[in-house]
Amino acid sequence: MDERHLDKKIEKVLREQTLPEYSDMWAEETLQLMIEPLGSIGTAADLHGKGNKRSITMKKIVRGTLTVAASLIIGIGGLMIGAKFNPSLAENMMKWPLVGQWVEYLVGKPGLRSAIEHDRYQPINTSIKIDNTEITLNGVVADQQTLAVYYSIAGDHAEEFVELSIEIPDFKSAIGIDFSGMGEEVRLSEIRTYGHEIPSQFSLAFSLDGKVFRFPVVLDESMSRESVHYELNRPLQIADYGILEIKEINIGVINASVKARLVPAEGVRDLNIGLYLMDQNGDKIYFDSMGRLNSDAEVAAQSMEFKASISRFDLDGKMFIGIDPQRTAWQSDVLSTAYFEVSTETIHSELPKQSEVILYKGREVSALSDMSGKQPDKPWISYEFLRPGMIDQNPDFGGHEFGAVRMEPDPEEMSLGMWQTEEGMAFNIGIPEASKVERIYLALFEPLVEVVLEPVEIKKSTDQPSTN
Amino acid sequence: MGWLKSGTPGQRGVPESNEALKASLAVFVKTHDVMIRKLSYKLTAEVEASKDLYQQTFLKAMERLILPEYFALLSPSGTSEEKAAANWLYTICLNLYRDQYAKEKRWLNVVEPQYAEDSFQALKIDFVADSDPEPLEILVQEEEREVIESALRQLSDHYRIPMIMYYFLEYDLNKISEVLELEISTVKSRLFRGREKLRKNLTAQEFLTINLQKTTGREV
Repeated sequence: MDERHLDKKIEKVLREQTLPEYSDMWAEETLQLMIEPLGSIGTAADLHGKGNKRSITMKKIVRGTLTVAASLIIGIGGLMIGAKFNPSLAENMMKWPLVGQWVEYLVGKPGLRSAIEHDRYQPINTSIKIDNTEITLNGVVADQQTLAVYYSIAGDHAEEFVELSIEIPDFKSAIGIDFSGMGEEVRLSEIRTYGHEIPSQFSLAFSLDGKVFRFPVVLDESMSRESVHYELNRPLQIADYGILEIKEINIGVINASVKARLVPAEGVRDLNIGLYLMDQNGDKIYFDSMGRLNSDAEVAAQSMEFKASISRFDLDGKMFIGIDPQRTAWQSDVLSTAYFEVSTETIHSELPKQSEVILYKGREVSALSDMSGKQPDKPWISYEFLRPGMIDQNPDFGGHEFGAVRMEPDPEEMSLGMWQTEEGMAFNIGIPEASKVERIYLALFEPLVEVVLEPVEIKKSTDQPSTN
Repeated sequence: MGWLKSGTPGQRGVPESNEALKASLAVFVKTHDVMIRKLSYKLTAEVEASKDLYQQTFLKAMERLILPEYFALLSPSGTSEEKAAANWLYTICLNLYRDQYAKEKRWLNVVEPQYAEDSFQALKIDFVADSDPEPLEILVQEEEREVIESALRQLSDHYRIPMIMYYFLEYDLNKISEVLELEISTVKSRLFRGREKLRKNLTAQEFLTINLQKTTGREV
């Protein structure tokens, strides 16, 4: 018996329902309960009056409850805004249950926090007003491939989602990760350019309500160009999978990246691996995304680039690198949804051999044909999901919902979802049939089983941080 | 319907007297009786609990139906208004269930995997064709249905409620998303995962004669 038959059986049971035994009189009994109170009331109009009175009482109760709730929200909100620009406060608040994850949400990932602590925040404080909407670019923190943007919106549309993009020559697209919620006084978005260096001069474009607010930005290079460069002494043999040759490790002000080339063993197909660094305290720092470099030749050569939110300020002393093996990925055609249940902090998905991938971010659409704006044979997408995103309206009931950004997907287009399960995290991709996706796979980075090579010591290429 | 007086669109069909309101409520309960009985039973899977939910649904609805702005739901005219009234009532029923019964069941959900495995009797049944079933086949089909329903009852409400809304109430994804205040992608995921869990539970009790893989997909 095949599964399709079972599906039909399940569906049939779901669609049908017998009546409960001895329930024929329920309607009559219920109706009696309903009309009983009507007996003492003269007219329907009286009832309306009663209803309104009840409604007024309820309104008072609701208003009181809302006032208390609002006070709490304002209090916590104030603390969080404070936390955004006060790393010590942020650090303390991170330890508070429940609040901690939201603080992380607001101040960004560890690399960014560390950069701010080291005074790498570059104030800009320029505003552009179009019609009744004013956007202020408060400031930025930058390294070669990451731009953290602090901005605020006033006037009309202040509560709406804004799409933020960086405009640099020969580069049309970037992934913007919104760390803030709608309507916050100051919002934070992080833009990663994945392989494309951010020049010292560029434009930041905010798209809101069909209007573009464009800010010219000049980076203070002395604050953004510092990086630590590492070279690896020898190739890493990854069990039976192949050899990973680490070409270089760059750790910038906000993030770190590793460029590597994989030489797969005979018969190994599409090997995906995760990397981690181990800091001087023996703590592992995982590279939370991985993407193939953009050229076809590099894809063919299995070149890869790994990223992590590590600031160069976080890492001193001896470092190690380790490898997590490939995880299994599954594809399903039920409900046109690819479903993955994993225990992982980061997921990378690749959708090869399709003409276009649409990612919905709020109401804005980013066509991620390719990170360079070109249309290669194998476009790829990289997402970060660990950051707390949507919380179910009723967490007690539904559990926590996680997502990279607040998505409002069109059912006809690609949609994304991720949530926390008893076992870990689960992830799905809704795929329109028209996209003709042939394969999807995930590379997972959290080691389910500690199958890791002996960490290999890596050495700096220079004793001192290099300044480009 | 002479006892109804005309009003503004929002207050159309306002009963003139208390008696007219009672009559109107009687028609309303009778119209939705069967479906709410089924829905409350589908949700609670217990006769007593479903009766309680059934009554609370109508009593809750009545709190609104006596207000002028809700009289269009009390006495709908046309198919679309009837459907709107039904959907409104279903939502009340679902929300009451989520607010009350689901909380009581939460402990069961916490221990769901073990509970599910322990409570099932191993049952090896192969499917029979749907067409022209013989008496023995009907018996087997009934048994199958019971096993599937039992597996459905063990499923966490997290997944079960969207499935009931999708299959039983025939809500579309947008409507489920709206009622449960979830993203559409999350609704899709829960529908998919609910079916997965159902399959897994049925497989665990050897409902199928073949071993199913972890998911319906293929490894890529």
